[in-house]
Amino acid sequence: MPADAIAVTAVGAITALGTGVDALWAGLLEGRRPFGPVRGFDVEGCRVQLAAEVRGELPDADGDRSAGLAVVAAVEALQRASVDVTSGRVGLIVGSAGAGTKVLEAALCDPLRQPRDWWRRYQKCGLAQTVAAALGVTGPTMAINTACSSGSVAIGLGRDWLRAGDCDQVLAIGTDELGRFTFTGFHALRAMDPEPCRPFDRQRRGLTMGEGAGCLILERAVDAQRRQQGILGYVLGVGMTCDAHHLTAPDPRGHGAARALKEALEQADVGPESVGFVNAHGTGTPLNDAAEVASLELVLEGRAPSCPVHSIKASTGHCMGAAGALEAIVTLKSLETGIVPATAGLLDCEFDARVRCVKGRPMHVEARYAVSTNFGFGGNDAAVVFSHAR
Amino acid sequence: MLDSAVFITGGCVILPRANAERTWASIDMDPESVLGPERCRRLDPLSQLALVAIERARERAELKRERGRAVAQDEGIVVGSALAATVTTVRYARRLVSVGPATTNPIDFPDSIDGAPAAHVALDLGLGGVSLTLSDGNRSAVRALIHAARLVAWNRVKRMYVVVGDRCDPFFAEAIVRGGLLLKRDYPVSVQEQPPYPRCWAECVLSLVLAGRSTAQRFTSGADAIELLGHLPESDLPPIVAASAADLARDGAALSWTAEPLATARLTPTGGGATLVDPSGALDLAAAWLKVAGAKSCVIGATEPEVATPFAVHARCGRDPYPNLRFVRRPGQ
Repeated sequence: MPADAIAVTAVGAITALGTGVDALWAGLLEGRRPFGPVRGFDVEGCRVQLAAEVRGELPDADGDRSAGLAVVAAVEALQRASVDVTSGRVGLIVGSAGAGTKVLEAALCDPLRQPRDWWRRYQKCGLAQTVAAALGVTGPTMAINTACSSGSVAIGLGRDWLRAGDCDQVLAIGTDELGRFTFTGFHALRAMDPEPCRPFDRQRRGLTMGEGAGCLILERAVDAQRRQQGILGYVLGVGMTCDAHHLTAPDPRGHGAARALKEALEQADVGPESVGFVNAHGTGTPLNDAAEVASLELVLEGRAPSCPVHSIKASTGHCMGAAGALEAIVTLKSLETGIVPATAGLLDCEFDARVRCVKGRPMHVEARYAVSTNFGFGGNDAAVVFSHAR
Repeated sequence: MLDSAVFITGGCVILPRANAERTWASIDMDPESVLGPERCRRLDPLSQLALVAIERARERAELKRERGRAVAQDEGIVVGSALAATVTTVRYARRLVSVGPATTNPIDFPDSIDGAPAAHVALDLGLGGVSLTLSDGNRSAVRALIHAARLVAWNRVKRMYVVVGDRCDPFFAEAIVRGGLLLKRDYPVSVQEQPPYPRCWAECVLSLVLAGRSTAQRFTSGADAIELLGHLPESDLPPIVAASAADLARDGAALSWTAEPLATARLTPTGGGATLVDPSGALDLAAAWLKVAGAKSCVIGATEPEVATPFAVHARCGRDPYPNLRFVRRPGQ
């Protein structure tokens, strides 16, 4: 294990599958697909009216739904770890793709009724500050936006903060509410499937949006071990690269994504043959899934055809900035239990001869190492290598 | 502190100008005059300014554009911005609010994302390393610089580009001013105005090119090098505004500092001044950088263009000014 390995000491989550990591995990194993008509805002006239929305009340975090989701996930994680958020040595990084857009819409609709300082809530860091205030975190905070890879990048930056000694523990959070701004954006780009998404399926037609939040509490492994803090797994490597190909479309050759994966594996000192499985970005868009498989073939080479690959977005929807954090949590659960959930709804995998798509029912995989990949607009590519805690 | 030496091999500061029609100081340079209309097409103004600032910073860093260059896997970009791509975001949101969800503009949506400026720079230069956009209010600028510097110091990349600042849609700018961020009276102010000057909201964009020692030496031909000395935790020392090699030599200590506030900018043709504030802290960083940058930095929008000696702006937001970044000029390599 690298000397600067990072331990994950607790996690928390909330998605359309329910509140808590247990609800997320159970829903994935059952292959549930909680998609329904969008209820949070008007989608009249839209070709796609489907999404995976979180049900039930959320804490009031300054009226910010993304912050409320983040608080729920963070509270669950904090309940399971020994963390003094008021020490000034606990950092908070929030990755989100759509922060602030709802505030802007409200200000445009009815400018006279807005608080005089409404623009402060639009500030990209407003979300992180709201979550920190709700949790009582007094250490450094930061917001990042690398579109749909934000959750994974939050883990990477948290690792860097720990390495630099900026703090002793980090709450790495990915969160995004189902927002009209982002929903209509993907709709306008015709990137959404009118039916529930089908990652890796030959008939796939696009993504289905979801909402949620995931929180991972990170700590330097040596510190966690010394404190005898329970450890769920380790972050061994984080690769972050850019396709430099197109603003929205991925590099079809998978080169940028492959570089991120290689970088993560090199940092982890893990060879491709040791990758137990891949928790893929797997959005269900024709371009992403094809490019992603191409990138896996480039890096895994001979291992690729037998390497289990799955996507949870078929059950949670694409939770944008939250995706990377949620998928990291599921990856850790898979390493812990030896079970990789099936990609729900996957019937006819287009890539069966090239990677081993997990479909139909969960697969038992005894693995020591696994990878989670996430990609976003702007060509942002992120890959995280995890190992189990044993 | 940084593990190993990080050098700033070039920079560009795009400053605001006084504008009698507005109560904030806005950048009024036309990016098309540098980039041409084709490169500016469809880009958010912040993305345009980022490209301009990077282009000029690269010139100062003696970096030439190579046609057909493969994607540079060991070069990346970090953007620090409090508000990101506001003009395109407001335009997209306005249409959404007025016309409804079914007919929004697919061209505007991708350029409204916060990461668009970083993405456009990465596309323009073929940067295959990390492409990151982060925000921490008025610490956004220094956060971006520190993170980029660490990546260089840790040898994860060979070269990093940093772009910090904001370019605001008037809808935002007016809201900030109306919201009583700071303004006590209208700006610009008269020549009779005495310190302390009224505070005024302003735009600024700063770009820097960072490299490790060997890369910096390969590309800077004998000129002085500006080394970034890293930063210390906020609690350890009082804020350091800027340091020059002369200051360090005079004080005889590695951690010389001064809390002396910088001079107030003269932005009005007839004199007077204002204390400028920007949401990302880019002005603070630009001020510190310009203290030592000399010919390493291009300055756009100054009252005196391409000033030989750096002039400085006094910038302070609601929180304390930054922790302790120090730029030091090293003798010619």
